[in-house]
Amino acid sequence: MKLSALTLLTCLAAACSNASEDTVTSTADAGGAELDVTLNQLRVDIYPGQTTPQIDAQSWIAESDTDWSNLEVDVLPSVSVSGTVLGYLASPMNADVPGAALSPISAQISVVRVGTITGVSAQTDINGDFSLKVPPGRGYRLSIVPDGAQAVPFQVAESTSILEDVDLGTIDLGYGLPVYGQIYDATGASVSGASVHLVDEASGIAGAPVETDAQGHYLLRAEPGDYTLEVTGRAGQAFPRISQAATLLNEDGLELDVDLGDLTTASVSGQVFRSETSSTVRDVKVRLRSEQLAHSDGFLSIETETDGDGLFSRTLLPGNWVAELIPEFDSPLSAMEVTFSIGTEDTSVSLGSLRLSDRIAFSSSVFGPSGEPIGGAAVNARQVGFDNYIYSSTTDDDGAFDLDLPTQPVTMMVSPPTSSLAVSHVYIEPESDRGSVYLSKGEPVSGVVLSNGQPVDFALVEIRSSVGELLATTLTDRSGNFNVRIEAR
Amino acid sequence: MQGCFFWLPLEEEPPNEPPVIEYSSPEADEVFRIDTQQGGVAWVSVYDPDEGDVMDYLWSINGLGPQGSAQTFVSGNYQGSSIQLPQDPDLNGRVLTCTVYDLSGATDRRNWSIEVEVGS
Repeated sequence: MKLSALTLLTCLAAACSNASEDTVTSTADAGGAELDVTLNQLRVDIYPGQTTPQIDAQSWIAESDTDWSNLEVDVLPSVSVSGTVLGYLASPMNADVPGAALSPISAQISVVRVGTITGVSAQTDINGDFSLKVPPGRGYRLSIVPDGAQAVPFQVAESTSILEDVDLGTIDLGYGLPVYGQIYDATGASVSGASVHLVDEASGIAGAPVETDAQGHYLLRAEPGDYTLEVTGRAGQAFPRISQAATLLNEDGLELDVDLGDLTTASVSGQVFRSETSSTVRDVKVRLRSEQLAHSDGFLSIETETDGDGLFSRTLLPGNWVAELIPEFDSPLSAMEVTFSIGTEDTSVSLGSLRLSDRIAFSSSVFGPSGEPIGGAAVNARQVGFDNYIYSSTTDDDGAFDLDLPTQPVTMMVSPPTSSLAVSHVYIEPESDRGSVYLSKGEPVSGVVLSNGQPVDFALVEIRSSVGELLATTLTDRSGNFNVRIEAR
Repeated sequence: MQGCFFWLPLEEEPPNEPPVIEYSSPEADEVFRIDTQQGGVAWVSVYDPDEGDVMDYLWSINGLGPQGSAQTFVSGNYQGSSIQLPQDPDLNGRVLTCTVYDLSGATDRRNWSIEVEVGS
């Protein structure tokens, strides 16, 4: 879905879409190449520090055929994007026809380069006005998502160029077309308080949700296009997440009723203990997610935590489930995962006593290609799954390090203190893997970060693959230079 | 007891110098604004005059405790730590603190108020 000429004349004339590139001129354009995840590109994420506060965090894309050892990363001071968002307010449940007068709209404006860190979001004020700043560049996605209760269409514009300060003027979101219906359960009873929203198929942008009224009715408005209608419960409610295709073609709009299935719930409870001491554990996050619901193709995920006695209890729908038990980050305990089933006739299910193991003392050493110990290397072990906790250490003069790791696998990133060796990544199962980490020479990724010809000093630089995988982290020096090595392509 | 006794010359242990957070983003005591769906990144870089001194970093948020999404880095004479936080409305108004400890327990720290930009 694109912003239409009808609804966003000002934007199209000034700054949006490829066609607008003729009308907005500038000599500067940050960002390097366009991100293409099918290519073997590098993404260089720059997080400027206190010495260059006028520069916002942004990504710079290095093509696969460029010399990665001699990059000139141009980052530019941000330019402003401003405008006023207006629309036709309707009372969603009492009037199907929007009002006649344009009104200021409360909305979230996002301007982002997809797949990068470049971009920002802002909220309109009481007059519908907004102003935000982004680095100048092409390939932005501009989205305007009104708050849900207003039943005003949301809009998305791809391939937007923003090369200098631009005032988009008045952005009229228009009437849109109605998408309406009723949410009910397997008995035919209406479901009030369910949350309903649309997701734009092309961009994945989600409109704001509305809640069904006492009769289970909802009303949204949207521009013609392909969407997914998603129905969920509010936080903590045991409603499955149901997705349904919704193609909006003509002025009649679209009536879409959704059956959530049998909403009869069962109580699920358990108590969490520390395995070594048999003491109960409080403040453990309990994430309950369905694998297959008995009465629905939908999905449900609910979080709770243990109380002072290590107890938790939630009501859930019948089906096959996974419970993730995640202790606090500074806890000495490992996370764990259990599977369980709730039968259609069950009214309660007890998971009994759930025992968390202590983390494992893991020791290893880091060596260079010739077997020389590497002291002062930063070691970051990121847990696979759960909440992806990161455990950090530093090697001593003998290259040795110690970490208390969870029993589950981790991916370990080892960053040497010298730029003559590559940052290396190792997959480790702490319960069984032993041995040392050997760093290779790898290949250099180096260059200079400049802004209008001036060095951007002491900025954090993250080198990532085109799909966002972190390869190395470093700082620019006083002259804006950075120099790391990554494992060879 | 017989023999010749003498004292080895005393080697003066240089006093430990505390670590110093020299650079950060955001700057000290400024607002940490999380205004993109990818979340926000805060970082510190630390200089410690004591050669070979190793740092520990504790990132915490008031009311939520220590955070598990921080990682460390080294770069020349600098070492540091960065943290990525999600665009979670529950973080709005809280204070993020990074405390760095050296091997002797000397510390430095920075605080930032968190502002999360999200639609209602």
